[in-house]
Amino acid sequence: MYETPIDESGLPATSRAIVVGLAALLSGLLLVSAGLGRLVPVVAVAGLALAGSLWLVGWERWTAVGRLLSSLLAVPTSVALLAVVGGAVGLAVRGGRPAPGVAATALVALGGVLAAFGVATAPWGVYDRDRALTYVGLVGRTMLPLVVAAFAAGIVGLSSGGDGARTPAGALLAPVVDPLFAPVPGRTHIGVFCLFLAVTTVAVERATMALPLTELLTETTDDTDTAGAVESVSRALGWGSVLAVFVGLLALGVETRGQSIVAGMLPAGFYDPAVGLTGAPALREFLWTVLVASVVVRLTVWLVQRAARSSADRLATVLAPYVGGSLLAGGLLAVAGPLLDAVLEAVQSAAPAPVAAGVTRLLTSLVGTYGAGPVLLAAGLVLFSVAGSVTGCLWLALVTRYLDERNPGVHVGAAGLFGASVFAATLGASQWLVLAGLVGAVVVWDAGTFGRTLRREVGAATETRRTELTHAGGTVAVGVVGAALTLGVLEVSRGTVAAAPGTGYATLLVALFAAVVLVFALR
Amino acid sequence: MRRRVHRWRGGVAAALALVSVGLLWGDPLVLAAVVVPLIYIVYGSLSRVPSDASLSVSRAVVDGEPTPGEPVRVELTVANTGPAALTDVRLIDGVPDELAVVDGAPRACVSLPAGESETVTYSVMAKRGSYTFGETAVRVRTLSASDEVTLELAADGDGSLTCANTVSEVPLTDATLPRAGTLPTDSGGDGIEFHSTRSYQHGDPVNRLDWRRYAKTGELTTIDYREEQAVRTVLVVDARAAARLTPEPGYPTGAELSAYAAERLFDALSAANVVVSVAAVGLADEDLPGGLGPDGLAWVDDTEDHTAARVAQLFDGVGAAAARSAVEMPDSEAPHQRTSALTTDGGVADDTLSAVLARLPATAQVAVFSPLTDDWASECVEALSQRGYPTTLVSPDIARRDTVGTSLFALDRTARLCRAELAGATAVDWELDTPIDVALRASFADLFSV
Repeated sequence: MYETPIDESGLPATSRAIVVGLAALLSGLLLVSAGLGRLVPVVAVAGLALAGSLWLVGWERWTAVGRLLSSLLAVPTSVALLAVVGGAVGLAVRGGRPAPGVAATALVALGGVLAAFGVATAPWGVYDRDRALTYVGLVGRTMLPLVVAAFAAGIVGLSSGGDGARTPAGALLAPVVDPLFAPVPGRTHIGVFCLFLAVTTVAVERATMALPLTELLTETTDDTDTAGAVESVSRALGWGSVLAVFVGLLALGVETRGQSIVAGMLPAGFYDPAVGLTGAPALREFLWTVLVASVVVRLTVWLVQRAARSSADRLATVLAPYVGGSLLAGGLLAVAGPLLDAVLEAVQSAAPAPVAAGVTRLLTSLVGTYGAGPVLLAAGLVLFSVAGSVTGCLWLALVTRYLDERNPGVHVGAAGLFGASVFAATLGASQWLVLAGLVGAVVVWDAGTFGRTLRREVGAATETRRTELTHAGGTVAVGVVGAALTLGVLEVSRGTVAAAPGTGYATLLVALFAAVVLVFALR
Repeated sequence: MRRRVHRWRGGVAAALALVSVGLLWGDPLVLAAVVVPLIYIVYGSLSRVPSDASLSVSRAVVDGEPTPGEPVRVELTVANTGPAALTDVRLIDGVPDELAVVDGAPRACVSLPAGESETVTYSVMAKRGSYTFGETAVRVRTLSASDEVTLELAADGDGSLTCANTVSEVPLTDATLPRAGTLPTDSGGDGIEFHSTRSYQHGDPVNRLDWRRYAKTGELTTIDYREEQAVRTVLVVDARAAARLTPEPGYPTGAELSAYAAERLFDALSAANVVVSVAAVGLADEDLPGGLGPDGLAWVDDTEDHTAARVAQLFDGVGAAAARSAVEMPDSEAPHQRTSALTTDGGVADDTLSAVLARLPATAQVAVFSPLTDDWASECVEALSQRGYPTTLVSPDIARRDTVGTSLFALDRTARLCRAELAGATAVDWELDTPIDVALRASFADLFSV
């Protein structure tokens, strides 16, 4: 039997228009009424970028391109999210609002982000468990090259040879890092040097043998014994590393007994060169660079070999986040200095003076200690963590069934609009706007869930506009009655009921009870 | 079946959230706004599908006797016969599983004031056989969507779709002449073509006396016509797996279309008193009541009892085989490459073809029905022609030519038709947008020497 395919995702056109139009209009007005008019574009960008990331990660037509763009989009998404929160707090502080007002302002901004995200995902059903989990994994894989780059570039700075030794991280890592990169001058370090050399030699041997040297050299030269030569080099490196380990362990034992014994054991005239050679920081950094390069080559070959066993699409899809992360890491290292200057300039021009001064002081200190590259790479990791954490929370909400998986975007969008309305009310927004926001949140949720059920039951090919409009009209009418009753209650109770902020334990109990009911209701 | 949908219970959480925020921030508006979620809870709780709600459904199949592969329009009308308006009525018509919906949707969502009705129109692709519609599933929801009633209604009007089970028109009217047979012989007797004259013998039919000669000479002579002998016509339907390709989901397969053409010809020939045998190749034991013959062929002779019923079973078996393993036409022909059925010295290397040749009577005429998805049918025709059997190849054209793959398939098919014609057979290329009767009528004279 060939069944007529029913597209169960997404919403019918009328419900889509109601959800998107109402949520966008009301959340925009609420943000403006809360004094966050300047943040409206940023809020929209944050919500849409997050939704766009989820859409791109499930883009089936160009999977690899979607994954690559999605991994790169994590940075602007996180920047926008941090800018929304930071901007809302900054505007509230600048407006002289008290602490609860600052919190309410930030919550209005977050509600706006959730509304934007919800209405961007709900109509097309791009927010689901699989996409969210895939995106979290994607962000994690994109972070890997940044972690490697930050580790490779930053660990030398953490040694006593760099400025990072003064930092807590430097102090913590000193027992490990200093013997490697900042040996004590004036004495031999044959043991550590030989062990370092052995590790590097093994890494070079593994990287060399992983490369298709035999195949490539046989095609370009007439030497038929290429395989034998490569094998000889490999064997020599192997024996060299074994010898280095042996000498290193022997030297470690001797060096712990004192330099005089070392000087006595070495032939005449060898002690000073040994001190200079084994204690040279530049040589250690060279070995470290060779070690990192060998590991990168080995990892790259492993990835290519693994991916080559599948199709080109699969290869590109697997490599996309690593490529994205490498591009970002390379880009950040390449333009680290100018970029940091631009960031500092932007902060100084946009943020309040105390905040700008604090940020400048912090960044200058960090750059002076670790260098611009590692600082920017760490900032990139923080940004990826923000995007990953937010999406992880969205995934967790679905896995734990606190959100209905059939169309969670609608629930998120309606909840965002509801929250924005409630907290805008505490900031003194217009009564009409607050009530419109509350009723609008219900209408958005109702139209979304109703439209989704409708699509699932009768399919996309059926004309449903009349039913959708009738249903939404009924919900709006009930909401109008509710709003009128609210205003009536408010008018009647004016002067008779006074609710003081934070009315003690009773409030906390009600809040706790509300939280419990909320959890059960969402389940 | 009535079901309460607790979709407004989230209002409780919203109300508590408002109370909490209202108390924590000391905002009277937020506290008073608790009325909004509460009124929605009340709205959802009080909303009920009216107990006296009543609906009726009727169905009309617009084209009552379609041919296979033809879209058939179905009109489903739902009427609100109760006193209350129903704002959300969803219905799904019980389309038979075998029929594919090719236009519109058998689903609808309507709002019906009291006494009004709505009509839903959709089209299904006709297939050979008779298909009964199931009951129409109807779900009525209230305006708040918090109460729903689901029921299944038997639709009035047309309850089934019948596709060419009987022959309404015999197209081959020329074949209905009262003759002993259709194969000319060298012996004189009844017939049409002049053969010889002889002296009158007592008992000769009066209408065969040569009255002109009698008028001239006064002698009675009798005219003999070239006697025509009854022959057996064998219809071979290609129902192998390779022939069970369909141009698109829901469309009859090549094997089904071949069976349909063979059935039409069988009915016409039976009406013309022609002795007909029907064979189908590629069926499995489970497709036919009683299973296949010992040689693996499904074969029905006209001389057996209940021939029509057994032939109908055979054609139904083709439909069953096609339904079991219908395959959408691939872009490439690669999966259907096969070894040749013929050897280079003219022998037969295919067991099925050998079985067909072994069963054929010496004086048979053969009509092969195949979509020509591979070389089997054209090789079969070649083998038949080499053995002197007058052969006709009838091929439904299932190539859509909308992709490179199907265009290539169409070229291959044309080449196979040419190959059959070069072998001496009559090739009938049945384009599906023309009735099979037209295609058969055009070739009938060649086939039966009328």
